[in-house]
Amino acid sequence: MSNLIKEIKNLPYTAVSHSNMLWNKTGSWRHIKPYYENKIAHCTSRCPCGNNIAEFILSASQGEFQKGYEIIKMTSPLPGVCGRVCYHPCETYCNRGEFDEPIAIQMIERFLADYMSDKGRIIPEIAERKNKRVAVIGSGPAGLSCTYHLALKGYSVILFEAYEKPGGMLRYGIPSYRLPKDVLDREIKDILDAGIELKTNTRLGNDFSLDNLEEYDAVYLAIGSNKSRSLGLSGESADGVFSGLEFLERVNSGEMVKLGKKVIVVGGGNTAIDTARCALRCGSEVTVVYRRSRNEMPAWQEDVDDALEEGIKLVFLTSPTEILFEGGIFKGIRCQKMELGEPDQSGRRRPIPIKGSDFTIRGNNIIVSIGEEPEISFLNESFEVKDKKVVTDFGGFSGVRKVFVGGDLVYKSSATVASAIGSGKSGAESIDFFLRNEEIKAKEEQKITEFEDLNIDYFSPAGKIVLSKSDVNERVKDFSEIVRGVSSEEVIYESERCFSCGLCTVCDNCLIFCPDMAVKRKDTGYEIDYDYCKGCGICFEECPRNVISLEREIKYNGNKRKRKKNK
Amino acid sequence: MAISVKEKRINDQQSLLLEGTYAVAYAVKLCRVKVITVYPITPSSAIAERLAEMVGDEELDAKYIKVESEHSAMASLIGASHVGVRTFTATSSHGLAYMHETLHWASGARLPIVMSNTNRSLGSPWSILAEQTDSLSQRDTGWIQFYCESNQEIFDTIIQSYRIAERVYIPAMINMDAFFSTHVLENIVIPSQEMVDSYLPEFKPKIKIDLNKPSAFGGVAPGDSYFEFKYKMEEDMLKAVDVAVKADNEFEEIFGRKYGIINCYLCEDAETILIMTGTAAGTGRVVIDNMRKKGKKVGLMKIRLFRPFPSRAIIDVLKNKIKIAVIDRNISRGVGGIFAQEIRAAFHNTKYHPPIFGFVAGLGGKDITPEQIENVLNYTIESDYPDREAYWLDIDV
Repeated sequence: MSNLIKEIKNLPYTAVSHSNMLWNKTGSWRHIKPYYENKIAHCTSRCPCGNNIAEFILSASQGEFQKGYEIIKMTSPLPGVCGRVCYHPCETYCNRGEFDEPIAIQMIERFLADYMSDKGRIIPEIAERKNKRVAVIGSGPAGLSCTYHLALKGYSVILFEAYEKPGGMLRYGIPSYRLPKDVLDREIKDILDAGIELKTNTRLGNDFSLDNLEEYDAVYLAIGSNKSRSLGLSGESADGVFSGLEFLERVNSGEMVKLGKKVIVVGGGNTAIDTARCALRCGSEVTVVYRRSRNEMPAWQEDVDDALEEGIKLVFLTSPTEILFEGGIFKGIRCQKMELGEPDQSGRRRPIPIKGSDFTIRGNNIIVSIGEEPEISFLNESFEVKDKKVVTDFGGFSGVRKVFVGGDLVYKSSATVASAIGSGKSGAESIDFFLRNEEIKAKEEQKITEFEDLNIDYFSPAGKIVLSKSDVNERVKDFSEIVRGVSSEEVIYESERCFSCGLCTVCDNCLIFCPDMAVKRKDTGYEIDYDYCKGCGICFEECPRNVISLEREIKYNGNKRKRKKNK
Repeated sequence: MAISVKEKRINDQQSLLLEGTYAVAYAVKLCRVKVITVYPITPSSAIAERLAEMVGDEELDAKYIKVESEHSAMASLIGASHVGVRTFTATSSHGLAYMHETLHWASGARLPIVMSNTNRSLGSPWSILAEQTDSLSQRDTGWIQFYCESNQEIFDTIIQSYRIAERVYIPAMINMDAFFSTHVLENIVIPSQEMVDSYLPEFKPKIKIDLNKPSAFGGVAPGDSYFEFKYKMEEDMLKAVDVAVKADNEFEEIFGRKYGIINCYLCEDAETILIMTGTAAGTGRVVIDNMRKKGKKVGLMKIRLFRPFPSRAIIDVLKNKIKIAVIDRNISRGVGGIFAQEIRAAFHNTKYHPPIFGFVAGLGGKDITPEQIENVLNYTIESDYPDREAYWLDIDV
């Protein structure tokens, strides 16, 4: 009895251990295992250039604009271009779009590019020089991107360009009001400054052939879709008739093309809208004739809206049947009204002519912008060609010795600037594998963070910045850029709206919530101490941005009763 | 004429017209509580609201944790109190019931958490009005329990409770009647911060979480030590009676008010004593006055401290009385009112055995009227012995 009382006196008033409890490795209780792993944001997964969007926005949100710019430069040499002319699928798939409004990703990219424009040339580190030479044919977005990435890998590159200046469709196809030439020049100069040999006015098929390129270890063919399709009507050679690309090329070369008062543009794609708006800026009244309805137009909605706002007339469900000319001079078109039938291969409803609906539209000029295709007459039969484009494997290899193909020339390419840039990058990677005598590897499947993967309890609603355009009455007078830039404050605000999906922002939530203190900080993120992690999963649950994943610890089948087989 | 330090201090106090809930909040603020977690519940919610305002307005330097349940509220305070800071929560009725297991943990871990509970009926059927069954259901959780009559008493008992709880390392629950206290305005004397600081020095527990000396708290108690921990706690709980008396006396020295662990009204020469708790005790005193005028030798005892049960103090007053009547605004189904049972038990091992009449009244916020109370006393005086555990007012009497 007395011993007991003595013992009680020695007890503390509350149950507290004499030493720490580290001996108690509670990790053995775990059957679900969390692990720390940055994932790909939904936006990034949709970027044809493969830009690490969540990462450069995170840098921008911290005011580290140069760092953000450098991150883009890892994947794309043309942020100023994409920041203006990309159709931004990133914004379409921005997870924040399901919460309130998507992040203005394109504008952030444009800002970073413009911000760095006067800060000197910044490109990622160039790998050790390799004693291999690659010929890149075509200096459009695909060729430029391939050149850039090859140069970064240490290869010597010679870049062939048919026209006077490099840039391809970026220079001769896209009008300055969407992409100012100084932006393009600046970014091309940055690429060429990596020691690229540029040969302009050198057209494949005219000035040289593929056979002349034996001295190069690899060839990258990215000549683009540089030929306008024709209507197939007689009179297309009449005075006053232009093809869309020809017209754009002349306008973009700085020529004020002389047009009559009334201009008819045929087509519903981006070229049609661009030609229409250029013709408007040349001082004409413009009518766009398209054989389907607005819903089926391949042109970007935003550009169509802009065109309408600028006073361009759109005539839908109308198709030219005859070109009217007198004395070799264009006078107008005979048209037929159309109605929409069943969907065709493109998934859009097929236009069907309405009998007896013919009518005439008078005009001084017609610009035919019904699509483009590559000029491939120089290709020999060893190339597999479908729909006037070259069939390649996933790495861009044509099947013909050391010739890789990229950009719009590739069969089933999506014919956008961003996809061309992405194609150039993957082409450079394939060429690198090829020149190192390694097998070209397909990209590993990446884990993508979608809206459902986020814990949105941690985010509050905040509206997108307002993007503005120059006044409609002013902007039609010349070719100056329409979309206005934004301030650094606006960019920081907008970047702070970013959820950083799948990207650890070191917010400490996992660390704070872990009941076992098993989440530890390390330099750039966290690690989990599996000696103590019980696998409760709260870190997974409370991570706002899906950086923590769960997996089953073990698959235990010991209790499964083995069924007796019926004999 | 010179005034004493004590008088000067008393003159430093201000008066504010406050509901019971706000009285609690003001007291908590003066106690310099560092962590507050509250899950709102009628009629206690205004305590949480006022405290949140005080924290929001930076009048009170405390961490206010929003929780998703009363269970979490208490669990959070258990963590906070282990760190060695003063903590507070407020609840009522179902909220308190929901805390049940954490109440055991808090007391077992010897954490001097202070909590206000507004006595409200438990469903079913649904009621939000006054009844003490909620807190009395928690009587075995090892918490000190006070039952208060006025808003001033509530205010002062909060301050006293921190002093008591922190001396014996046992949590304290301050109970008040739903609506009769919580939603009734009363002139409250608010002491200066300086006065409260002098009464309630900074809380410095002997054992707390120390990052330099990592330890586990409340782990498995091997061998006999669980039993021994419980013994130690019981020792300290019993000591708490004297600690409470002392705390009340010291409180009077600084603030000029005193309540006693029990409060007796005209008991000295009384033959029949009525025992009541909470706000209804005030009505009881009016009845005592009236019956005294009619020549009846009656007195009233209000029990303020319920856990630890102050048996000795109660027996000292009641031992030579002829009869005792207890009005309970609570019920332990099958034995009647809980205070009546506790008093019967207190007498059991003494040589005094006055008849103890138990009355159950006012459940679900039903008024306990002067007429009822007079009936109770007359019935007690006129009857020799009670013939049942409890009479239900207006039904049985």
